[in-house]
Amino acid sequence: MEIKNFKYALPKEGFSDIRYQEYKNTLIKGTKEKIDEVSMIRKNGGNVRVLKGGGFGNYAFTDPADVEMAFREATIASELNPGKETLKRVEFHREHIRVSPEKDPRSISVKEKKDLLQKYIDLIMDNSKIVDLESQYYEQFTDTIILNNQGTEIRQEELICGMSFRMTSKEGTLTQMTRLSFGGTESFDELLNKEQEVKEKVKQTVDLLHAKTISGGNYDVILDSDVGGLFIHEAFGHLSESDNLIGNQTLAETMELGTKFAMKDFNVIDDPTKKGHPGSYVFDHEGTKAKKVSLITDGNLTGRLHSMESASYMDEDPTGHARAKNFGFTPIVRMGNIYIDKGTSTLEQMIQSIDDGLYLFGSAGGQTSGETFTFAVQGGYRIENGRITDMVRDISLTGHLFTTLKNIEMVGNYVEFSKAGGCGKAGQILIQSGKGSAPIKIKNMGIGGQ
Amino acid sequence: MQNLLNRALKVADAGEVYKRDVKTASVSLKMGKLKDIQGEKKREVSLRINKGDRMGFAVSNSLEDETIVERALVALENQESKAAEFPSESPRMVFSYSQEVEKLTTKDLTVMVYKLHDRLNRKAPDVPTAISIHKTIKRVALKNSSGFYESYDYSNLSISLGTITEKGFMGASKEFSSGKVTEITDRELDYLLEMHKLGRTQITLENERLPVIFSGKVMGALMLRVLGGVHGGNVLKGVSPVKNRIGEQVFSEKLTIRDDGKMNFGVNTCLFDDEGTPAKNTIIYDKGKLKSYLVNRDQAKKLGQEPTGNAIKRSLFSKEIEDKPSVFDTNLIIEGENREDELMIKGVKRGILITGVMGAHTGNINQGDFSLNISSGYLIEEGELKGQVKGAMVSGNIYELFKNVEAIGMRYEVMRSIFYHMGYSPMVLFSEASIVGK
Repeated sequence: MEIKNFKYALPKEGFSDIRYQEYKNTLIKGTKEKIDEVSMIRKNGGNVRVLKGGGFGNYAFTDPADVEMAFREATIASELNPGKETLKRVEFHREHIRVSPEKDPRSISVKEKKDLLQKYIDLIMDNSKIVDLESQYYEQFTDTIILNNQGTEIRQEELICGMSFRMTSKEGTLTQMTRLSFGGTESFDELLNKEQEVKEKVKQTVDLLHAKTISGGNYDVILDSDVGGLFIHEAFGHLSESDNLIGNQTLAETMELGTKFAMKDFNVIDDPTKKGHPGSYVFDHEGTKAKKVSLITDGNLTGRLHSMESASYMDEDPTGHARAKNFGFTPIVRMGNIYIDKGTSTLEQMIQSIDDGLYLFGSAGGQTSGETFTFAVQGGYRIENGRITDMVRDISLTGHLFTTLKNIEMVGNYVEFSKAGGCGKAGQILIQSGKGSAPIKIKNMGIGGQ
Repeated sequence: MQNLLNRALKVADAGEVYKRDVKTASVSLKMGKLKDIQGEKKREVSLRINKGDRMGFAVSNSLEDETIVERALVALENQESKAAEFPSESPRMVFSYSQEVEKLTTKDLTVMVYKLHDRLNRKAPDVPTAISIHKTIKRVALKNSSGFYESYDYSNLSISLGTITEKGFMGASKEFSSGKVTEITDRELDYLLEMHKLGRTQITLENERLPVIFSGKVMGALMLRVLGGVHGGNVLKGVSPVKNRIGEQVFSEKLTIRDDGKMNFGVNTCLFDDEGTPAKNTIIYDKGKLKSYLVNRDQAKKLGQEPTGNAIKRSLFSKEIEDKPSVFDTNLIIEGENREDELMIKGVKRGILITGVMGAHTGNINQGDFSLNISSGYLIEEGELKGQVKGAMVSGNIYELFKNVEAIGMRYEVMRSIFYHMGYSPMVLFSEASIVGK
């Protein structure tokens, strides 16, 4: 994979770029008993873009000999779009980024990784109430060249490894499912010595069998850091991805900078430069340097996430948030590590402020569409008269974005980040997407129970 | 393919080479302006080898990849997947490919999106729209050491039509997906615009139990749960709620569900599945009675049934080859006692028509639980659609809900699971479901 093999093919007219990538993925999957799958994927391919007409033309390919054909096709596609768009805000960089993990997972044998996963499987299945388990070790390494006809020449390595578990407990006909993740960084160290966390999650999964159900309705809730991260990702993060705003003037007006969205003590940041999280990186897949962006400051909308195209459209600075799952996909605006920054309340103060509500823990997936969002949690506790009481189960939440942000009443005084990210958008699942949060209290949240 | 198979057979007892050449093109138009136009030409290759009683698997995008055999061996030595016998049975012909679709150029697709935009714009000039067309052509070939060497071509044209609300968010939507070029009728455009108009009246519900109609598209969210129950792997693991229930009346007698890989020009029609099993038409629930699980070759052997042609190299969130073949739907078809769609709506005193949901991937899918945000739903009162339901959820379990099928509609829509299409269903009326309102 050499730069000269691709650089010559860049069309000179308009804007053009190429991202060529070597992609290596190792997956080790386990059942409730054993490791039943080891999968070692190697793929190479490229993705080219041309902006000569009224919009980008994109073309992906796997045979390096197709690079010239790909540019021809992308040029035709761009010219099909009437007009002549240009990029007003483009950064140029020449850099080679190499990963240097404390303990490189690529230097560790498949057997060692398998043995570690098996150790955790055995620990989980040691409890007879756990009846099913899906477990996985994942390791993804990419070596990417990003070139454009404006002078950018980036070569960047990216590495992420982690473990994830979905365990199911059962009693009678009732089942409960929880999730546990470790790692989400470039170092294998982060996966070692997690026995205590595993045991605690197993206990929680079994305890949920004796939890109570709740009636659907509106509740005052406290979200723990994991759920808070999912909330801000789904409820606000996607809307801050500015590719939504291109050609959509009405939405751009809704998202006008300076608009008051939440209380004064509420701050939201996206920071890919924060090291050691799933969404940490140096350059995005357009070759723009990643930047920390304050999305909401003191409750007001102060920033958004950009690609080159959306930054040019909005006449704002590019933030380095255009990324793709792999070479088969075109870069789109994605969150890096989004989080709700710490406030001033202690968790105790937050609990004491609620007479009848819920404390919710553990994210279990979510989705957003326009102004509404939904997400599920692994479980929770009732809060009665300022005290945590019974454990509750089978809970999902829904809400209207702008109303819910206004209903945030307290923000906790510490931030924790989730060890696993992952986000789906436009048919691309990106595992390098991080989230975190301070615990938050939201009043009057819609809960779907039984 | 033979060269790679020969290389594999130097270190293994049996082998299988799978090759998929994919070409795609997509064009989208938002508010009358073309967005990015995308194309793709890719090759995907996977190798499976058997040695002793073990199986190994590796993925590449080149038949010349020198590391693929070695990687399959590492996998074989480290995993406990048992070797499954590679098939030799030749499949019969299916209609999975249309030359008319393959011939469509990117320029043709551009003309198509503009024409659809113009048609909608003539009907409702004040309604902004979002339209996209995605074309896929695949050439799939599979060669194994049992003498199987077959290939087939596949085409698909998927069209998505949507409206945009006054605040700039997505409003009503309709999806179409077929192996051939299909005409979108004025009636379908009128329906989309009617739903958009209803969105201007927002209605808040209380927490209540109501009759619910799931549109064909949204039935996909529920069918994901049906699939979790009849997935051979879940049955063998003991986590399926319908384990050991073949022959039992599980759902309403009004409901039949089948998986038809041979359907003419279906969204997932194939000549053979990704293990080489010929495509089949499997009745899963016949008038509510459980008839068959969906199984790959290994699961079929363990469960004592024939493989159903559902071993597919994809995952829930990716159509790229990332894993060994797993059990997925081909074309799930929902059928039963039909009633005209309009009559079905007219017969509801107070209920909801749900045409869009979020959260299909959350909750305990294999157990049949669902808790879905109604991203697009309409209140029906005295047989009339009154307005769009705001901020409500529908929740329950399909093993309860599917006992209460009142009627099944006539007009088929392509079902959406999460990212992908999974077959076809008309709208289905259930007598009661739990709605969480304000």
